[in-house]
Amino acid sequence: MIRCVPLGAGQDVGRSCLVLTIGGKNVMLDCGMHMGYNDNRRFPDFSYLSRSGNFNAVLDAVIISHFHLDHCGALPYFTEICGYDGPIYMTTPTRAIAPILLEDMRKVVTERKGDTNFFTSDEIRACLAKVIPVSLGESVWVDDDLVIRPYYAGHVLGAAMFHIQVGDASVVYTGDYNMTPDRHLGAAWIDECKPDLLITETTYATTTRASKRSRELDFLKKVHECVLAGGKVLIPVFALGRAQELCILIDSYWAQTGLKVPIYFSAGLTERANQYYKLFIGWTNEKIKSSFTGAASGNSITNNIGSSSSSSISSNSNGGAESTTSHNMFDFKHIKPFDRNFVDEPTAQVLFASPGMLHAGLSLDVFKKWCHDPKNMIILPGYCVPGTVGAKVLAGEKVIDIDKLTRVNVNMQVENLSFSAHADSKGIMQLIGMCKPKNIMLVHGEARKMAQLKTRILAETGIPCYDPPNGTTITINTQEFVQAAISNDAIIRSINAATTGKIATLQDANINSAEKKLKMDIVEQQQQRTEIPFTGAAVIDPTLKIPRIVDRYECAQEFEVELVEFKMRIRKTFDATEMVSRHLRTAQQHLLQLQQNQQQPQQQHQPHYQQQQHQHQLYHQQHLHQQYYQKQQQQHQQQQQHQQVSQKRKLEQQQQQQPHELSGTEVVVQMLDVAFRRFVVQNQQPALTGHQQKQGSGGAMSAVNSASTPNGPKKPKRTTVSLNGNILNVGSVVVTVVGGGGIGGDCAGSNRDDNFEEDAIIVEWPSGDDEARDFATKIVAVVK
Amino acid sequence: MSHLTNAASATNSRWPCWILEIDSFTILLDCAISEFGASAPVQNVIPHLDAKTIQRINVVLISNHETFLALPYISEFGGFNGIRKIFATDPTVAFGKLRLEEFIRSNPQVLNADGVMQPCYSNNEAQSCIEKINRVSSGYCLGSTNWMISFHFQKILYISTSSTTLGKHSAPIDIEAMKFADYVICNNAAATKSAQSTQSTLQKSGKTIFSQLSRSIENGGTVVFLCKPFGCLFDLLELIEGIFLSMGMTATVHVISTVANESLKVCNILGEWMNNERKERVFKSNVPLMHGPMMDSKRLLTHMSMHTVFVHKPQVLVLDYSDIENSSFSAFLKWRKGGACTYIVTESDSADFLMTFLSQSKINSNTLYCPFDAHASEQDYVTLLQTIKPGFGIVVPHASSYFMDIYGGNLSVLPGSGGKNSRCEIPIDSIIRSVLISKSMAQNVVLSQIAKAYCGVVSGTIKIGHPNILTKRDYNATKIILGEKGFLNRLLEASVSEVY
Repeated sequence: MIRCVPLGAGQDVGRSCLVLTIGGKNVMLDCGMHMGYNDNRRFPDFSYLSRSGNFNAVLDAVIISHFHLDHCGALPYFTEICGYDGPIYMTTPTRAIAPILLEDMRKVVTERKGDTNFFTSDEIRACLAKVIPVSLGESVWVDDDLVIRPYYAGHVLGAAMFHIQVGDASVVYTGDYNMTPDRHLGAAWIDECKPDLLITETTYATTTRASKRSRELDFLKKVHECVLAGGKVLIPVFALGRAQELCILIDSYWAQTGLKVPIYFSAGLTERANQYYKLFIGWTNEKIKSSFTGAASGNSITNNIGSSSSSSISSNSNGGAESTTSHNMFDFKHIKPFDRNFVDEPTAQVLFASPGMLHAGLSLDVFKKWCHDPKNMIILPGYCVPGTVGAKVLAGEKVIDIDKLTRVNVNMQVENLSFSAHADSKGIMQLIGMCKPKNIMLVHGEARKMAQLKTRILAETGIPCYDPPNGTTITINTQEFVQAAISNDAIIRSINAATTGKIATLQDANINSAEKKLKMDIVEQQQQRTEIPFTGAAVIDPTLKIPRIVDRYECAQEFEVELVEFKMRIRKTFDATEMVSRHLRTAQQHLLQLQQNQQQPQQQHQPHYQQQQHQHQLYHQQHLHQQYYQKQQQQHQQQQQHQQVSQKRKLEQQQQQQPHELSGTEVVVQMLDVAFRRFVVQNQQPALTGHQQKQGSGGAMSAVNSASTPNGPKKPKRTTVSLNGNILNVGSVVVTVVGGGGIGGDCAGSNRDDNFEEDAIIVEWPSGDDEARDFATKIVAVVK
Repeated sequence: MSHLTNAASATNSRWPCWILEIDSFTILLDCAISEFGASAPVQNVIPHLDAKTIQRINVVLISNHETFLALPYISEFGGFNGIRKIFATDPTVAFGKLRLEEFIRSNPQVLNADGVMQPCYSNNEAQSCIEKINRVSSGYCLGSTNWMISFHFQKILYISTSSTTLGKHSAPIDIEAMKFADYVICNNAAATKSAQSTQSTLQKSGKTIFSQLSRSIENGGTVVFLCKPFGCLFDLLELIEGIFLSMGMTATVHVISTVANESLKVCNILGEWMNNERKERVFKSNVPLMHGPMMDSKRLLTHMSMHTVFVHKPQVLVLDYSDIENSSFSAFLKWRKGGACTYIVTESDSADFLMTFLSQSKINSNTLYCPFDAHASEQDYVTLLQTIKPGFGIVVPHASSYFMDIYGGNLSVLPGSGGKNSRCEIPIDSIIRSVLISKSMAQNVVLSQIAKAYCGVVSGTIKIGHPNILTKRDYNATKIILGEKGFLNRLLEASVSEVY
């Protein structure tokens, strides 16, 4: 079973934080912060995870998809203030760049806004020291079961999608991703991993963007025209990501056209950012990578030997040393660092300045100076938060109050250019097609758009899709597996039995190894039969770590227990709805009766116990299971002491009177008390409606839950050592085989979990089966 | 029973090529070309791999860029198809590509295992081979790996050329992870005794280089390092820069190799694969290795060939010896005749070959052997194996008495060269297989106590498939599936209640 609850990005953008439960492991996906709040609402609601604040006990790992603050901003808070110190995983570039952004934000929050309730620089450092960097394509085993694997996401440098797996259950969390390669990054890619759940971002859930190339050309044309006319171009950017892409774009355009107009880049953060891009060139796209390693130039492997001599000749002219045949795209030839004095220069220029939303800093200062001149131009490359100057400019306001004292007239040309590196709706559909998930969960988007996309996904792919708001858990049922050991011989015997059509006998075990090998080969060659029926016993030896599966032969050899085989088929199917309503009617009647005579059930209980004791004496004589017998006795005593029997329980006991009266069941009980039985359930499972199936699984879950409750170590004993009340699986119906007589009542009461609600069907032994006929003609099966 | 074949043509374990056959799986462990001959021209012999074997290979694991060279013969010829997979780390691929380029350029003589001349693969074939590699993650050099192969409940560890020396730029060897191994295939690449280098010899080498370098530069002499343009070159450059800094000297280092420029640049973007100290440098937006700033400030120059070096009147040179036979090299030897030039051989692999060559070339120069590549020594390997204590045994291509003393019965020697002795049975089998039982079935099993164990009846189907060794994700493993829904919990409770 997989459960996932968004703590921050459910039907919302910002503060990405999800908690995923997969195969008993809890993983936090991203730990972002919301930039729109100044109080603790900016952080995800971690109290959801643990009220006591002991996060180490509940979380197995934290995974950060990329360095944007809405994905990692709350991490120092979570580790240093909330006290989580378990493993944190992120890619190496994210590990490198995240602290810079965190520190930058910390400065803004604490120094500019004067907020004191925030993490410190030291806490950022301490937090990042706990990070385990991972590489693309690397499978990281967090523990014996949990494996994570990053895939390229293309959103920003080092952005990754994570494949999270426990046993057979798997989840893909995309973080933010981009399906179209851009100037500096490649497209997101994932293999066809068929996860049980794909958690995808949906920033652009309903948008389909025009081709990137035409948008780029448009952008360059505008810049070119503006500078030719002597205007100044202001490009407010966020220092990391888009800035580098635009720089590459403009730098190469300048190189092509031979433009001499200066391009400036406000220094500081960006210079360092460029440095990171240089260090992590392996994370950029193929073009940049190959131009860096020189694969596209002289010393490429694709060139023949002759070319190497020519390149050495050309290098002669370059002062002797070899010319740099490789070129780092982030060594910009035309872009120079900016100096504040350049603002007032009369000539044309292009300036990249942060921040991107014109809310403070250099970009705002320059805007104030340049906005009056219609020759000038401002290009806003991204999205602006409402209320910022950037948003007002985008909205086309001509008179803007920047603060109480400053009002400006905006005469400059305003352009918006969406270069955002999120997948659009087409991209999201493309990713779904790539990894072929069984379920989809939408996060990191606006509620309305998500709903639209959800409808679209359902219509186009038929894949179940969820868009839970914050704090709402989604649950996906998956088939889960437990590792066990089995001997090769047992498998071969089963294969033999399956291929020859007869059930394995003890003699089958005696075939010699050469034959075995031969038969195995035959099976392998055939390959049509990929599944074989298997019956045997599961063994748990406290000295072994994992359970063993043994077949009939091994069971006899090692434990001296014969597995008896029965064939059973369902004679009568049932309508659970009808049965429930019928029982409700009788229940109401019983309830009336019970209210009249409250003490009656307890008096009834005594003879039950005696009868069972008699049964067990018989059993004891046969099998010498002293220990078991004692346990049973103890349990019964406990049972009796248990004074507060619920109304429901009393009802159940009343209901069990019905099977009690069936004939021939006592023999069945004896038979079932043989330690090992083996039922090959033939025929088909009864047709069930969805409602009934749900009932069945609900019942099973409650059984598991109650079995795993911590209170009272005695309770599990009662469930694990129950011999009657044997549960079988018939297809998806859980059938409990019970004996008649006293045991019938006993089954529902003493040996089972208290909240184990049952309903009954009658199953008959096939008359043709000798073994079965000897024992009984009828058994009663109880269906939850 | 599983089999292991040593397909290497040479008995020298520097060029490994193993074929591991487990169940129906065939895994090729490394694919190196063996070099023969103490003097040039070196004969390059590809491993003993017939077409039939090649077609059976499911997976190829490459440990480092040196064990790469015969790979195009596997991937480009002999019916290798897309289903088969080649795994190597990013740095292995990056340097392996350069190694292939260099190899092709050197116009090598390639022989097959029977001594018949083979055409060398072309650049295009090499390129196509590189493109087929799946890049995965993993101390001898940057990105070198040891592989752990899980087969049901057994773990086979393949140890290729390793280094237990700390303080190198590459990430240190992960010994903890190795301790789980049941069976170890160990290349034991500490070839000869003279080639062994330990922490102390490294320090000794460092000191020798220090004194030699400072003296030569003060006297206006020249120091020539004979070194491949990967691996220990990066450590060597760190050392040289360190010496310069401590001496307050500045000299330009010239690296002569067709691939030096690319190699040096690529190395500095592979910070992810380096040790923690280097990683920290990267996190602070610094280049992980010192040669980055040296190149930026033009104190390190790369040359495609010898011709362009003389203009600079070089004092410190790093020379790729792959074209040592080249005429330009003899010109170089003549240029610095007499005692003015010191030759330092830093790589243990080719030490004997180079020392012989230098002594034969009748140059009246200093020649020194200062091993700087930190190969694990035989003693290191033995210590490592003692730590691992594999229960099923160890196999090595050749062994000295060191090994024999410690692992008498547990150790088998499997020499290369393709004879009958180069194939053996190994105690890895599938007598006990790992299967998966559906949790729902497991939870529904009703357990009873028999002796000390708990047993319960199970019934279902077993999915037979090939156990998929590498890609854990596509569990193609055996499964027993039954029903829908509560055993693990019960199992745990059963065992817990027993214990307490």
